[in-house]
Amino acid sequence: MATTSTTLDADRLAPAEPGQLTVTWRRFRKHKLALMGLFTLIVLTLLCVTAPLFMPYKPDTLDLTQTFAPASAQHWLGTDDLGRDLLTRLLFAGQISLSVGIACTAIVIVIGTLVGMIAGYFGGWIDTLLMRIVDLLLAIPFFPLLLVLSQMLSQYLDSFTTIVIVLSVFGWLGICRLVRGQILSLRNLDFVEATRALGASNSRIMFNHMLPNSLAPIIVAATLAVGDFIISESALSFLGYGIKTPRATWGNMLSDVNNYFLQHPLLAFYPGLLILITVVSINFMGDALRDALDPRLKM
Amino acid sequence: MTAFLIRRLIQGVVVLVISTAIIYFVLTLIPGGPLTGFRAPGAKISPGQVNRLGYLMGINDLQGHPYPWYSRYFNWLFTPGKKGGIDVTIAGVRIFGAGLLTGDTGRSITYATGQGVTDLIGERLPFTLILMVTSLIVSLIIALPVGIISAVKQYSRLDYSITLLTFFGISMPTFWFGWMLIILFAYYFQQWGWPHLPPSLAFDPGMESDIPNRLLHLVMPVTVLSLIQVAGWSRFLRSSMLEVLRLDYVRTAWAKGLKQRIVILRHALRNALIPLITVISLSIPGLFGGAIITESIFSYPGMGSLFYNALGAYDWPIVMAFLLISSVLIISANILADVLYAVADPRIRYS
Repeated sequence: MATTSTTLDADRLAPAEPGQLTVTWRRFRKHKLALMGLFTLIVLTLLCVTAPLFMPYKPDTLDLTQTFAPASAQHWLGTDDLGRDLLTRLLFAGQISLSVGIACTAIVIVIGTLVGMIAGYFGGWIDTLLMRIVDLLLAIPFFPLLLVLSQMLSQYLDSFTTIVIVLSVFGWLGICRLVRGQILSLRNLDFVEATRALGASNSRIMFNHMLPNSLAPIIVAATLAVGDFIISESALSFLGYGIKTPRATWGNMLSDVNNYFLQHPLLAFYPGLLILITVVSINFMGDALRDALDPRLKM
Repeated sequence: MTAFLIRRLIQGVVVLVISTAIIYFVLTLIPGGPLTGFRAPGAKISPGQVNRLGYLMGINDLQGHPYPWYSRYFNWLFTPGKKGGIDVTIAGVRIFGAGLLTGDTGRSITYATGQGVTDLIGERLPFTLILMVTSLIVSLIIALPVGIISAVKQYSRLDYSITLLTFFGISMPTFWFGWMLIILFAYYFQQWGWPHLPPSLAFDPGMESDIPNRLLHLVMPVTVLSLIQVAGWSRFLRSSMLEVLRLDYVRTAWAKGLKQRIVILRHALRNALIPLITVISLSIPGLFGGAIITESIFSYPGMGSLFYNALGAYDWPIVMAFLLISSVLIISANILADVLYAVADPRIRYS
């Protein structure tokens, strides 16, 4: 007999399904290395962001009486060639490296997703045109071009904006291909046809239906992209075409010691070590996210 | 197959033309253009000299008024009346001039003033090619067995250690890694009286044709250049092999009683290698960036360090020529990879 209650008894007896975030987090938790990576990143980010509050030195405070000082109670990691405290410089440099990474990733995700969605959804000549452009840009030697662009733009803009723009110019190509692939596989599914039959506009289908279903690889790609951009930024700064000294970034802290890294190897060791630790943590997390968000795995 | 090859070659030429055009326009049309460094305040070069420089480069006329972009581009490709190119008469029409199409890449302005760019690059190109090709081969030789073993022995301790190492490999800043290698293997080994690796150049003075000496000089640069590729390719090969090993035809091969090595190498690996070809060809543009960094660190006399020094000296003919040559090499490598892909996967040939 039809009931008049609004919920069925069986619903009340069954346990509540965990939300997607919970499921993802539980699967993520299983990867020990990724948890270590997450913890390391959180600690590092907190230290870098709050450094101005608790560090007694500023990153450009010179102390020419104490150049190349070894680690001591006053300077936990020692000083560099101009007597600047190394630990302070490393933390402030981390601020820049991390913010460049995040800023570039944000820009690149937006551009890449938009272009990929348009190419994948509309297909036809739009798709061919956009993909030809992407293929063309992938055939160009991008790194030398980045150096040249950086040199040209730095005449007009400050080095932070320059490097964010320069790194974003080529960074969106991979995301674009990824999103396009996702859209292509979703395009022929029944729910899209149903949505269209219900009268949804193109943009509604794209943004309200296809995009949420493609989020998993985009999230993974975004995470990994932060690491890539941190490395690219340090490479550009190392060569002198990124953030310019005396503003510290891990890359140009390395190039600063160019003339004496053999005599003072520790000064070259720390900045690179921090880059390595940061990017490794990001990569561990990205890999674990890929497993955690994989819809093919059954719990 | 021949039709495929011809089609691919034509595509390659079109891509080459378009990408060189893109490079040219990016370099000359960005606000300020290639002469901005000379016009910067503090540059020790007078405006009259800058104009003359621009005239020689085909950018503006002697008074400093820039030419329109299309005539600059065509002048760059072929300047009628310029000496040093071709001088032929076809069907009563005399074609006389020089430009990119006749192989004239200009002369160096500041880096090695007056010297032909073709000569400068020509004497450095072989070194860079040796470095790149060696590192590609070494990367393959290491990545293949590592990827295969990692896949076959999945979840073993060896697999976990390899995975850990590859993670570090892809996260490594190459310039730092190179310096750490120099500090340890060149500097400290020498201090401790142990045999050490040479930290710079391609050969010791006077020993140019001594192969073991050249190989010794190549050890560290090749290691630095190959690290990321080995890490990335072996991870990719591992996941590719894992997918292939689960497929039905591999199971059939096991069931038939074939030896493990035959199943893995002759059946699974062949199919797992195919997507790896694409991955390898996608990493070739990155090789040029890596070469720039590696050659600068090790003072290796290749094209990369020439490009870096020329860029610092605002020497645009050299910069442009480097970008062109790298584009040509990348596109050729892509064509080669496509051909290899067609050879390996018959489905592509007949589509």
